Amino acid sequence: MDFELINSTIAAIPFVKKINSIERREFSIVGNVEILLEELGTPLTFDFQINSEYPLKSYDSESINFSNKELVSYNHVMQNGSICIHTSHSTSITEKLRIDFNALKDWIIKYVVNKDEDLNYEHIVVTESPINDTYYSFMFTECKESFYKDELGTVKLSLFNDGILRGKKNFNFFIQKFVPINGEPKNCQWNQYYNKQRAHLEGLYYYIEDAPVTNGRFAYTNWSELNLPQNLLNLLHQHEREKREKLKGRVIPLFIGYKTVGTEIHWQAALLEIGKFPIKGVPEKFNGHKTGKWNTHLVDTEIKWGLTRNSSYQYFFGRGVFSKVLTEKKILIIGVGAVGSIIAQTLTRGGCKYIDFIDHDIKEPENVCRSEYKFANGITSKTVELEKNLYEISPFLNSIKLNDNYFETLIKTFYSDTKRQKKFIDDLKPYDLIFDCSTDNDLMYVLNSLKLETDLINISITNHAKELICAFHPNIYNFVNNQFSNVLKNDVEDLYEPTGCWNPTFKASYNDINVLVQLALKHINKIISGEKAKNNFVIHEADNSLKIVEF
Amino acid sequence: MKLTKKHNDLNLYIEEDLIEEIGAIALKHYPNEFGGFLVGKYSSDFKSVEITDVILPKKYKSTPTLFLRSTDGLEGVFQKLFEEKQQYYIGEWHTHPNGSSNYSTTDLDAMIENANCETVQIKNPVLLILSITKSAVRDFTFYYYDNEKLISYEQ
Amino acid sequence: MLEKSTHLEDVLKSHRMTHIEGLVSKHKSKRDEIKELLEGNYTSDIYSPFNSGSFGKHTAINIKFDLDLVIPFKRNSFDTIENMFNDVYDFLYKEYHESGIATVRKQKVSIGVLFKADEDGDAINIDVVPGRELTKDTYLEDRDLNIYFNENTWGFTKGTYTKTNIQAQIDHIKARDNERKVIRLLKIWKNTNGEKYKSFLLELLTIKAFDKATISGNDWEKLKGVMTYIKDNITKDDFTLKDPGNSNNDVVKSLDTWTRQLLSNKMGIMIQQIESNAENIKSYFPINEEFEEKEENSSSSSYGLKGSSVGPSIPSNNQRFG
Repeated sequence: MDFELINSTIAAIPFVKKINSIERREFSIVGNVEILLEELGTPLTFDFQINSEYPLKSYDSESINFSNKELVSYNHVMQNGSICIHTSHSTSITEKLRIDFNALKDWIIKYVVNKDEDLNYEHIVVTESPINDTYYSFMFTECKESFYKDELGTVKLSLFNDGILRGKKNFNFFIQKFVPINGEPKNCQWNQYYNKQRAHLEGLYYYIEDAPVTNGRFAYTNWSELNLPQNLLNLLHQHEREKREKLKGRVIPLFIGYKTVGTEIHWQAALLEIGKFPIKGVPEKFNGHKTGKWNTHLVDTEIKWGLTRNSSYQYFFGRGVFSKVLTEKKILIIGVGAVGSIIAQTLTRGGCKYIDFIDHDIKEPENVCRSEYKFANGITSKTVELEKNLYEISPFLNSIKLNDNYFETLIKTFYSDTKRQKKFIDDLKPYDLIFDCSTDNDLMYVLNSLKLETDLINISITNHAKELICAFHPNIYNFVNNQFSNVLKNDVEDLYEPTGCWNPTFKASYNDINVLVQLALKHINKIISGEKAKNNFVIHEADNSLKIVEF
Repeated sequence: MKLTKKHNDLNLYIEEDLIEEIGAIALKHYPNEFGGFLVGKYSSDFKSVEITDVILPKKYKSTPTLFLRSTDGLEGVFQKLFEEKQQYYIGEWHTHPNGSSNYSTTDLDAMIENANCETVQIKNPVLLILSITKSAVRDFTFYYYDNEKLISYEQ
Repeated sequence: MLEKSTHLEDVLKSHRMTHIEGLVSKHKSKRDEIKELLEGNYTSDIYSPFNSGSFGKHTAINIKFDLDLVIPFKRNSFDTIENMFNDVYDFLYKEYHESGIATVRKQKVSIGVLFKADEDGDAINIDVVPGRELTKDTYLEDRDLNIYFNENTWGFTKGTYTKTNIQAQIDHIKARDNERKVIRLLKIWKNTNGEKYKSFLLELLTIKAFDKATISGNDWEKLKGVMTYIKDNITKDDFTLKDPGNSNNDVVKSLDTWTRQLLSNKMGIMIQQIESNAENIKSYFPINEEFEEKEENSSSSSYGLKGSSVGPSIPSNNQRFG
């Protein structure tokens, strides 16, 4: 780093009144500056440190740091006094310095001078630490029920996969439910798959209501700051006594709950090790004499905070979802081969809550290369594996196990029977949206002939994934057949013939298929949200780009 | 503009103006029925017929529900039409005031009798029925006579 | 290459009502039965009932048609339109519903009688539309009727009534052959695609197109002419579609701007797709395969002659028509 250049650039910044000190160290340049702005009565001083990566960012952070411990109560100041700024990219040291000092100036005006409050809620700053060299993480969702101040109870926790965090083991738990000492359990809003998991661990909770912080946002570091009430201390004592024999050394969380924005609640997990709870028994005294009873007192030690994450639907899917009209729909996917499984997985990641699927087929290793199945699951029923894969993605997906032979036997056998037709229509009525990805002409014909009261979308792909054809009920059978036989040039010669006596299938890679399906779903999402007209469409490649042609 | 009526692969053509002309004549006789003869040409393959004109009866009786026409005094007209213009008698037309353009059993009987008449050379005469009100032609239907049946051309 | 006009001709052929004569005559006999029952019950309170619906208008297609029966009540028959509507409902309910012969229910402006499926599985549905003349003894002259709204529909509120002239609506489309053909085709499209546009709207649009634009040529050219007219005009702010039954009722007003834009776009897309590849016409106007006519069974070969050559015919004398 060019020490002289940095020094002279900083000195030339108009609101840098004075460089109190600046020195070169092995991997950085450190110093102290005095900043004077018109809006400030007296100047502010900041320590600064410029690291060797400068002007590049490192680990998502600026490689310049300003700090002033006295400003810790202002927004965006860390506990050690460093100011949290994110600025524009530049590879020029002089330009970057000007940008960063201006960012500091902006921060001063916004938060020190104007005392602005941010619109976004900022989580409290918690130092997450391991206990016995292991991290503990806990996912939860909002509960339907509310919590009242000083509420106590136990928490049922289930363990899922272990992780590695900062080089150490991380035990991942999700909260099943909160069980108040007196009252009905309050369940987290996971889907049935997670709700049905066995509870592996029991923790405790205490709803304190106000955030357990100093300076507005730094989590307490010591147990005494929490001011735990006597009944909680008693509960801790009782809990430890019960478990000590069998579970000595086991870590359990004490969840401290508090309000964030609106009615939202967040939980922090203070980790406790059985046998080492921060409590002690103190003999009760009356007029200087021991009464023979013991009271539980707190032993003030440092709190080890675990990791907690509010994984409620709105945060889980906060970064992007399909339109709400689509995510709330009850969806059925018929046929979960390449196209169907990609649709199922995309809808799941897009926040859809209700997806059932039906397929009588078995997943073979050769299906893996272009659909949402995994080699690791071996040979198994497609619907069974897909359900598992989708549940692993989303704890908010609900899927009901259906009769995989429904269409193959029931509907196809009885489709022309008018009385049964009524029943089929009723069977399908619970769904708002059905995707037929079966590429089964017979089924397409049968479904098309039913006077369905639910939306039906048929999606199929021509050989070599040259085109994707999407048709809406009732103009499916006629449209799709006409496209395949008369309009598009579907190659029916060069098909892939799996070994053995299988149905030949179209040739196309995961990439070929997925890019078409994704574009189709993007368009369908617009149709469902009312942004686009519900016209049948064909996607095809033209001039190296994909084109949606409406019909 | 020329209207086309179809029955299977058979065509019937008529100028809209001619239909209007017929309507105008018909309305003059409201509330009584009225009618006459259709004349025209067949195509060389006898797949199409074009109605080119109408001939009105010189003698007729009519009430709101009945029309009786005579051919008296018209024999020469049909002969002349054939000789000079190569046009033939191809069928009949009449009105149903305040009624539908469906044919009645009287109409069918008349057509059977007519088709069986020795002086009629054609097997499949056409029947046109106009449904009229006091002020307008409400609808009209062409029928194709075949083997004691009247079949309407496509609507 | 596919000849579009020939295809449309085949489409129309395969959708003809004559293919389902059995079903139609079942409908007709049920309709006549209802008509007689109502005539027997209301006797001199009503004028002669008449047929409406697509069947009455000759725009029916064999995949979707309705036989409506309009019952014109005299002014003094009921004190309110609502009472008239309810009384017809009560009567039909007692006659058909209570006896288990049919389901009778109040609909938008009519009373639906849905008969139980017969041995062929056919469930006959007849809609009965009661209307009352506007002032005493004027019906036969002007054919105006007040009809009741049992639901919020077409911009009208439940419980209100409006003047209409169903006869005028029927007459509006009568004697309009080319228009009917296009209307049938548009109805086939509507059914094929599950479009929500009302048939009445498509009818009025077609007739207006023929009146305002130059629509000529073969069947495809006529259809295309009408679709182009709809595409170009339906979105215009000053575009109106007068209901022939009530000149104060602008039918296009029942569509919001977005729906009008959609219809215009759909017409545009269809024209473009069919012109770019004639095969696409089958996607919108498919042949009803159930009644697809095969070449070989065209029985009526020609206009027959009794002899071998043509001679002048003299029609039989003194022929009586009814």
